[in-house]
Amino acid sequence: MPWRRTLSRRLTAIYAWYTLGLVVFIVGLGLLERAGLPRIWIGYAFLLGTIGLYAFIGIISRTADVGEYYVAGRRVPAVFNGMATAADWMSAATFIAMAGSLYAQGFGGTASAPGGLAYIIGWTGGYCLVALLLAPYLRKFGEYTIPDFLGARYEGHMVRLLAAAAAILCSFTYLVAQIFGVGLITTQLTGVPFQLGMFLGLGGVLVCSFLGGMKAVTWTQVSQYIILIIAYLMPVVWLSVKHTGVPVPQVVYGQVLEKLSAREAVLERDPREIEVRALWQKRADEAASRIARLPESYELERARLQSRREELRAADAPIAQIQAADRALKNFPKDAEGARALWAHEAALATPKAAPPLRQAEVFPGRDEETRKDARNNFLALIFCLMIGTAGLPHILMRYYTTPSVREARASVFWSLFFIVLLYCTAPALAVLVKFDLYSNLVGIEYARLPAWVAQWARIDGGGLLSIVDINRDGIVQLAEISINPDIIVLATPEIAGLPYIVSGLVAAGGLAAALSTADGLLLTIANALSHDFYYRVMHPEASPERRVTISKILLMIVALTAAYVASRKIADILDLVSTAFSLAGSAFFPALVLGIFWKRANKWGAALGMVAGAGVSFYYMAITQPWLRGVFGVTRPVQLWWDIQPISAGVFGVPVGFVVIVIVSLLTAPPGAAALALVDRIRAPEDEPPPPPDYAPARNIQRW
Amino acid sequence: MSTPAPVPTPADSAAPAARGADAASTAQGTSAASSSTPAADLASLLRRHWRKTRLLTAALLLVWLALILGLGLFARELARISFFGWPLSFYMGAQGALIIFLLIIGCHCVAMNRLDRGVQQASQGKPGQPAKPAEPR
Repeated sequence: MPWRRTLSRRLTAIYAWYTLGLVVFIVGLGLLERAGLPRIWIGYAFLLGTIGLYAFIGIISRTADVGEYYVAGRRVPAVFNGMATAADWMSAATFIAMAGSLYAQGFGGTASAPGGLAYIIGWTGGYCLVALLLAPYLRKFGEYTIPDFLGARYEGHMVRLLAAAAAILCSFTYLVAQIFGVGLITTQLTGVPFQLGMFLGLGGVLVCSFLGGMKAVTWTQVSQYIILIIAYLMPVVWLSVKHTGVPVPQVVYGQVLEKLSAREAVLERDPREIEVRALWQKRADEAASRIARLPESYELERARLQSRREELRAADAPIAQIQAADRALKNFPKDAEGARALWAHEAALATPKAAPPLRQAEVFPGRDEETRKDARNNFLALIFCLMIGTAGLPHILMRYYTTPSVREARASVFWSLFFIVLLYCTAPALAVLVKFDLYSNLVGIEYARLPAWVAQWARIDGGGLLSIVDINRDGIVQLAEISINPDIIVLATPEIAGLPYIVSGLVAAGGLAAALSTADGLLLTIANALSHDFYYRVMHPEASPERRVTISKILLMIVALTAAYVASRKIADILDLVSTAFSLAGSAFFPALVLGIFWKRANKWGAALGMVAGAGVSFYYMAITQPWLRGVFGVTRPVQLWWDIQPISAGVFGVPVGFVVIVIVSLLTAPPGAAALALVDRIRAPEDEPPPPPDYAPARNIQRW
Repeated sequence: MSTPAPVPTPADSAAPAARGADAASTAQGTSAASSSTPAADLASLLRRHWRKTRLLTAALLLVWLALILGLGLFARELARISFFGWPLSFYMGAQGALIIFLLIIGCHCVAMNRLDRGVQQASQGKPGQPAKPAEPR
């Protein structure tokens, strides 16, 4: 297919020039920083530069054509679709939080907090399911949305509407998390208020997807992938050169992991570390005993604070000390209940630090065999839940409609995973390198010589992100004296590695690209479900193509503003939102899609009830166990886990239920009709090389890029 | 969605009654009586293609499942083996499994392309055949 090859070559040239331009931009800013450009300007340059670029791509690829708007004209070459899918896929959570989770949780986390490599394995293994079970068949089907397929296969509006509702529900939840991330990063980058930052970022997304739909979003996502992979790799390569002398961190960090494990063993036995851990234990015990002796301990503690202030005043102590005592008294809770909450919080902070930290490579830690087994089961459950969620997320599956052929759809899943793996292979290297750097270069130095980045991060959020306090007053930093929020690991890596501020700006811009690219894909999914499935297919099948695109654009705007409003309320944390979206997507879509393709007997009643039952079970389990949803529904009875599986893996229950219900109900009701069976035969049959779309003659086609 | 199918698909060649009774197996084997007509020839070609597709998919999914379960269940045993500095379980989780996932998808691509080409050549190569199954886009 010559038109395709020419297009591919042309795109490669465009993006090569683009990458070069990006490098020149970064180097230029770096030189300006040396010449004394203030940091705030670098932040603004990155923020406005990248958002302006995305808006520009939106403007040059604006369209009102249905095929272009919904599926980018179905001529995105496999490699570029892979890159776009990778950017679509990797969200703020992946970019910012994943390496942090590897830092904090090591191999697989604990029984109560599974994580670590489970994220890496789950979020990549899911693509095997996409490639083997879904993508080629959906491309062969060749319409516009995922509810489209389910509606055609399961004969009618019932399943289509259920699918559209499920697509909206899980995409919206995920979208709120992304917009929340956009707000956090913009604030971090430029210091503008959270709400303003959120809307600035959203502006860029909107111009792009509003004007150009899938076409604009695809080409923007490719450019966002290039930004985010450069931003992610740069500091890690630097750290790798610093510690091993080799600029390929993925290959050599095994040696660093070995050194880190040795260092961990030393720190575990270090007498000063043991001393500090004992002090934390003492604090935790004191808080616990005070709670036990409520309410008289409340009066005692207040009396102690009062007498201390009087003593200081009587002794004519320095004014700062007296003020501190005043403040302590003023901040002391007003009643016994307040004191209970305060002390419980203190105990919760101190208890984990009383134990030596998790070792990086330790597999399934636990007191006894039972806990270790629990940790293993939760690790596996999380992997399966993430994999099936991956294969059920409509905004990812939708991307495979945009390739020119089934063959390219298959190749494009390979390229998607390839580009994702580039970053995912680097995340554990980043975690290990940063940890080794902190364990060997921060632990053991004197407090007077703390590096500058420590003070900067400690100022943010009242020390909630990073705090280092000399607990045993020996003037030297011990590991147990450092409290670091894992979410800042990626953002702080450039400073930890001693790189100029420009790299910090670049990393933040990369995080922004990750959040925006995902937000773009999700917005389109939701707007398409509303405009294509609800409006066009069900309400107004006679609507003209122009009208459909217009409606879709209006809905896109409304959805974006609603999501921004919900995100600005800060209702839940990012991880809760993301895991909810995965469990719902996996249990609602995966069984119905797979059985729809591989089992002809599956019918509409089975699919409808299976989707409801699967999503219902996952949702019910989260509602009774997950803190956020428990709060929403006012659940007060104690948390009762099923088989000790954490709420983050709720999909583990929903997915099998979905499969079983579809099979049983389908067998009990009438088999599907001839049209549905013919559809299944058609998507299973091999394709032949399709001609180029007739309305895009090659010459014109090329010019339009 | 319209299906302008000048070429009968396997389900069409099967008797309607058989479809009602066990539609899932119509793709595998029925309609031996009509196998002499060109249409049925293509139908059996497609049936074989689908059977091979399923076998391939099942085999690759088995590798995928064994990899994940093996890694989860034997992680502690694997951790005792050192692999260029990494404990083997950590390496597999952080890199090895990802490379194998890529290989699984790559194998699927190559094998499916070959299967598809086989059907196309077989249906084109025989004289008096309809050129190839017409595909509505």
